[in-house]
This record gives sequence, structure tokens and C-alpha cells, in this order.
Amino acid sequence: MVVRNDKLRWIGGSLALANLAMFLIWGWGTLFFLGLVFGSVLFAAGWWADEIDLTNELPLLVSLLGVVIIFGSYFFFVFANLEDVTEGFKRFVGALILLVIVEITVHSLVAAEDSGGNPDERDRAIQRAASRWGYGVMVAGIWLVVGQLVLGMFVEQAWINSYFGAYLVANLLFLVFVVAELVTIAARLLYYRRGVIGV
Amino acid sequence: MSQQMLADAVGVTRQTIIAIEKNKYSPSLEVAFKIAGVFRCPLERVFSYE
Repeated sequence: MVVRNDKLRWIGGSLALANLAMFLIWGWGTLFFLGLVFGSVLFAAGWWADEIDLTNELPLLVSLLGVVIIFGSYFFFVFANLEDVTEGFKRFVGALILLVIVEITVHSLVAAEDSGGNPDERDRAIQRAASRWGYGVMVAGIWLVVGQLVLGMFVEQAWINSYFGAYLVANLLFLVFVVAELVTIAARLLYYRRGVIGV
Repeated sequence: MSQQMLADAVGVTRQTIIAIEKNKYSPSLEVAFKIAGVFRCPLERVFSYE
């Protein structure tokens, strides 16, 4: 028997349609695209409510998409406009605020729908196993950034030192953290879906 | 007994009970003994090692 969640379907469908309309009327806009994606995800979760773990998997899926779209858009701008530091900083603050709003909205929706309680031993086991993946990626990324900094010190090539300015290095480090977080979220989703035996 | 009732009795979430049933999670000894205790039977009648 297929179990559907009408409230999630209604909220997701409305959000997707409203953002699709604004997207079509006003053209490209990260906010509308974001709303369209999240609306579709919520609608899909409501449609296949018996297939997806609404308490754990839905917020993770939304976080994954949110981080990819919001920070993908931010990094796309930053790496294409390395000289525009002021606009980059504005977009950084905007991206953070947007992500916080999305996270709060989805967690509130899920909490209102299903009071699953505190994380139990399985949630903690999955968090531990997924964190190891994220930690590995973060260490590798930081070593790469450190490596290019050291290279700039030893190989006194002007282009290396001029290209890897403080702004770019700061954003590269931030990118490492974001990618590590994405890997952690993806690993958690995978463990929730495929099980967490022997990890 | 429903999954939610068993989950409440042993102090885990319903999703964890579902995962144990589907063989997607091996519970800790503490939870395994609690589940056996709820059903009032020995541990080896509830769980087996394959």
C-alpha cells in the first residue's frame, strides 16, 4: 500500500508552482530556482512518504540540495570574479542567511509532522561513520591548499604568489569545508538508505 | 505490538526498529537485550548471527 502525506504534498506542490511561476515571469534567479527545487523535493517526499524516512532523510536531502545550489552559485561567482571582493562578501552573507532560512523551514516542517525524538544509537553511529568520510576529504583539501602555499614560498614564481592571493586562499579553504560537509551529508544519506552494518 | 510501541519500550526511534527488521542495522547489546526483554524471551530467539 502506498502511504502519502497530503500536507507535505500540498506545501511542496504550492511552493514548486509559485516559484515556477516567478521563475518563468522574472527569469533566472537563484531564489526562485531554489524554491522550485525544494518544493519539488517536498512534493516527492509527500508522494512517496512510505519510501523515504521523513525525519532523517528529507532534511538531509534538502540540506544537500541547499548547499549545492546556494554555495555552488556563490563559488561560481567568486571564482569568476576574483577582483570583486565586496560583492563576493555580500553574496557570502546572503548565501549563509538563505541556507539558515531553508534549514529552519525544513526542520520546522519535519518537526511538526513527525516528533521522532532525539537521535538514538543508530543516528549517532551513522553520524560517526559519515564524519570519517567528511574528515578525510577535509584533510586532503587542506593539505592541497597548504601545498600550493608552500609551493609559492619555495618556487618564487611571481604568478603563483599574485594569483593565490588571500581572498582566493580563504575561498579555497571555505570550499574545502563545504565539500567536506557535502560528503558527510551524502554519506549519511547513503547509510540511512543502505544500512549501517560493519562500519 | 507496533513498531512505535517497541521503539518507545527500548528507547530508540521507529526508524531504528524498521532498520533492524530489514537487517540494515545491528543494534548494540544493550538495545538487543532490551528488545528480547520486551518479548520476554532469550536473546538468541530474537537475534541470530549469520
